[in-house]
Amino acid sequence: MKQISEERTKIFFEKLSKYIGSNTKLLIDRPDGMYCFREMNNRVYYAHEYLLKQASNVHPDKLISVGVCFGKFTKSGKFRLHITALHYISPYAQYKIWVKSNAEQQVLYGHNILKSGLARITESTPQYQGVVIYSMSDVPLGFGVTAKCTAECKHADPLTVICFNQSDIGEYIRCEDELL
Amino acid sequence: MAVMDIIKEILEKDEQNKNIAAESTSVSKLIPPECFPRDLMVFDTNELNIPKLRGPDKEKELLSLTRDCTQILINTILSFPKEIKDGKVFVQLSGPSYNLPREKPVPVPKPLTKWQKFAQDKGLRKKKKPKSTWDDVLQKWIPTYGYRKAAAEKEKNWVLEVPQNVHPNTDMFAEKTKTKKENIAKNEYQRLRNVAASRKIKVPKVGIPPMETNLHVSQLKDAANIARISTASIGKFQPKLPEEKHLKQRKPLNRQKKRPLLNTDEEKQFNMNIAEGIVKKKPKLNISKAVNKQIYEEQSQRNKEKQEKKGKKRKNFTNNKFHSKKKPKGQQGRVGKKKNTGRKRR
Repeated sequence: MKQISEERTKIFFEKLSKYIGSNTKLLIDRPDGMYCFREMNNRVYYAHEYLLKQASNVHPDKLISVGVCFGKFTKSGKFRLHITALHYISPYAQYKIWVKSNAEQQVLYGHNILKSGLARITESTPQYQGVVIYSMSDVPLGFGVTAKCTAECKHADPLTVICFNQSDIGEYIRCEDELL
Repeated sequence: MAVMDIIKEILEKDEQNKNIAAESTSVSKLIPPECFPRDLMVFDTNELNIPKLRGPDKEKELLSLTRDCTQILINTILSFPKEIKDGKVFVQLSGPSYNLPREKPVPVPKPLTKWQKFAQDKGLRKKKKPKSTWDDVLQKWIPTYGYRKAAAEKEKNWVLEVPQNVHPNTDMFAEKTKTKKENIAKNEYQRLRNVAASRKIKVPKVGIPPMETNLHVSQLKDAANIARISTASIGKFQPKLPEEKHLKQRKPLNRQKKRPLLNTDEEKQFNMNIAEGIVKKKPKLNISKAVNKQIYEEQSQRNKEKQEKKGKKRKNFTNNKFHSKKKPKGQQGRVGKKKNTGRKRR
């Protein structure tokens, strides 16, 4: 459990800001207490300061997880968001995609979103923008990256990919052993 | 009376002397020390008086401790039955012997070789070979191995038969030495493999490990990259090779400076600064993004116009329907040049 280095913090925040833009600052500066990002085994955890203090009593070798895992740094030095971060990201998402109820299952199986499954999309979403995927009943299902901008979406074929799946809540079952 | 007194006095003195002697030989300790008279050894487990041992009377204290323990040992030795031979006192030392603890751990049994394992599984037993055997041809005892074995072999096998399935001009002696050498090499290989297995080192099972002549492309690239930056200037002044642009440039590793540990407030400020920097960063001009934006705006405007037009038309239409009973005209929605009227020309 250590503080994240400057370089890695930059990489991490850049990834976060792809999804929630300037709302990243709201995660750091919270009115309900001091929350910190900590790194352990190349994974980034987000936890209350009090919780961290409590966790410092545990031997670091025996500690598996503290707070919420936001994602991990890959071996090539990139940051990958985990589905566990969805709970914190979805309220701040600037660009959203709503999925039709019959395409919901496809998303939860880790497939990309096709035009046929697209119900709604935030206006003026640029291409390759990080988005949060919602079901029609506004339940966050995961996050992805748009393959087409909103304008292009309107004229796309029903089988073209609109949004690349980055992670979805199906991972809680599919990647149970990798998520922490 | 006087005589009696004197006798009494003498008796008392004697008693006192005895008591003094007993006192000087008896040792009282809180925990009776363990005594191993057979090894002439005493273990005193009582607590040491450390302030005294660190003080100026260190030597005295140590001496007294040693004396007490030695006294105990001698007391126990003297308690054994004595034997007097030629005017000298002998004592048979008895009792338990002390087991010294090992300095080194108990040796691990040697890992079995592949053959030993196989033999153990199969239940094969090692047969002892005789040191020498009687040879009928030479009419003498020949050692199984070692001194004079090779000479005897040479004497015995002075001629060798060429088998039928072999070319008649082959040198069977050369063949023999070759097979012998191969056997030795094989044995050595197996020995090394056993050593590797016992030390848990991975050894390629079959095939030849990559030779320097047929390296993989990626290995060659890596080698070229490393060679490029392996100069005193880390490749700064290295002239470029004709195909160098195809090589992925590897930068020398720059070590990360360690940041001092921040407290939570400082960390928060630090993180905020980084986040602010990222948010404020000027986006690069993304042409496709800009074009898409333009397209989107145009489309949305066109859509708006269309919708407005539609709305207007519908209004007109309803007006027409309810207020004028004119016959509906065709070609009203047509935009652009009007179609030529009149006779159809072919």
